Amino acid sequence: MAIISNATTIADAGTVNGLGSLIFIKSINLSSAASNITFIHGTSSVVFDSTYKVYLFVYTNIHPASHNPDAAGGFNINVTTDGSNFNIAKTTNTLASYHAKDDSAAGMGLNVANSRGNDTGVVPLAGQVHTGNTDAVSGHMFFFDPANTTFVKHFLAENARSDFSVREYANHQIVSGYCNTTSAVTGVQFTMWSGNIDDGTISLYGIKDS
Amino acid sequence: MAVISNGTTIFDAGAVDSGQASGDLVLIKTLTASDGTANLTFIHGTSSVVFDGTYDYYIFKGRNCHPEEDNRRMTVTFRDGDTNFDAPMTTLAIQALHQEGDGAASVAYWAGGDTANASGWILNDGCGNAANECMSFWIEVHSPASTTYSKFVVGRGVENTYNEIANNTYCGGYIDGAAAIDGVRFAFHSGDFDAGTISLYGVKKS
Repeated sequence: MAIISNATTIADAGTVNGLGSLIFIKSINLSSAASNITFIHGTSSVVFDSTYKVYLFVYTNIHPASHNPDAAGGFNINVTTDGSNFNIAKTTNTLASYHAKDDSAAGMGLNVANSRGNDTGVVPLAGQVHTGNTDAVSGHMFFFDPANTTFVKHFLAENARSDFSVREYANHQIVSGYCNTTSAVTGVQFTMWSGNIDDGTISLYGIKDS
Repeated sequence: MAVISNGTTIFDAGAVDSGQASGDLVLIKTLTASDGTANLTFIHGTSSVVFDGTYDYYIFKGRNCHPEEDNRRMTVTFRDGDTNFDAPMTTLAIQALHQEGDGAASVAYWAGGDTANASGWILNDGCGNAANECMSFWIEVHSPASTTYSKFVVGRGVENTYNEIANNTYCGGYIDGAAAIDGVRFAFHSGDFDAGTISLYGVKKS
């Protein structure tokens, strides 16, 4: 039985309409260090398919177990189309900016080392993150239409982090790009460039389009 | 009386059933400035404001913020344990701009908009005070109640400047130290608001 008010259906088929369009799906909060945080559609209540056309990942206080001085990456993602192999080619660009706490250095530019050209490896969302007690990276990533089997899959990420290794830098990185596949993407994995993720929370949301 | 549709309870006891998928972006508080408003301030526990560990991810959206005086910057300051909005921050800013009539266009690091271990995060360069000029923005604040990590912020400001430039500021950084943040204040760097609305949202984490 539908409930209709003023010619508008407010509930039907067991569902209330119009309760909001950002839907919490899954949160993973590390209780101990782990090599990765992974969301796979159909596993552990994760929804990551055509249910939503846009997904939002929010990552908060991602703290590494070990500092990796390699400027090529710090906190990364990869994606899968089969639920187990995270090796889909990705092309990305990265706009990075930095500012030292003592005002001794600042700048911005395309971070070529963190950008990727049809690379099946990980994509850095953020550069190196230090292991200082208060150091971490926080931000968000939109992932568009992962179940689409016609087009490539786009994503947009933005974050801030601290790196107290040298000058206590504030860093900001904007990453955008696409997974170069027409297969449905069914999962996303977050890792550090090397070593474990020591602490942090990543939450997944779906955004309704109807 | 419960309302049951297709075998599923959708309303009962005066509320939508908890089994219904609800929206998880939660409006917490909207503040509106008028002529002479010095600042818009959100303090946890005051006037229905929630800004603690209830959510890990907060979003502020400001719209049509119009300064009384010309060429003004919106600043954000945070409270970290006492009544002063002076939590030290290190932030950075990228400015992308384009002037009416194609007079200027550029993108560059904006040293005038960054902060080095000081209070006052800057979201825009120089908003005009002509009748139709204003600035709008969004910022995100992660885990303000954390007593372990610095507090990370990311934001974007857009404005119609006093000299007719569409100016976009990409900015972010951290609030230094492990003290919890329980208040946020928005003010122009001098002078009052003439108008403007800022809304605070929490994003559910479960």
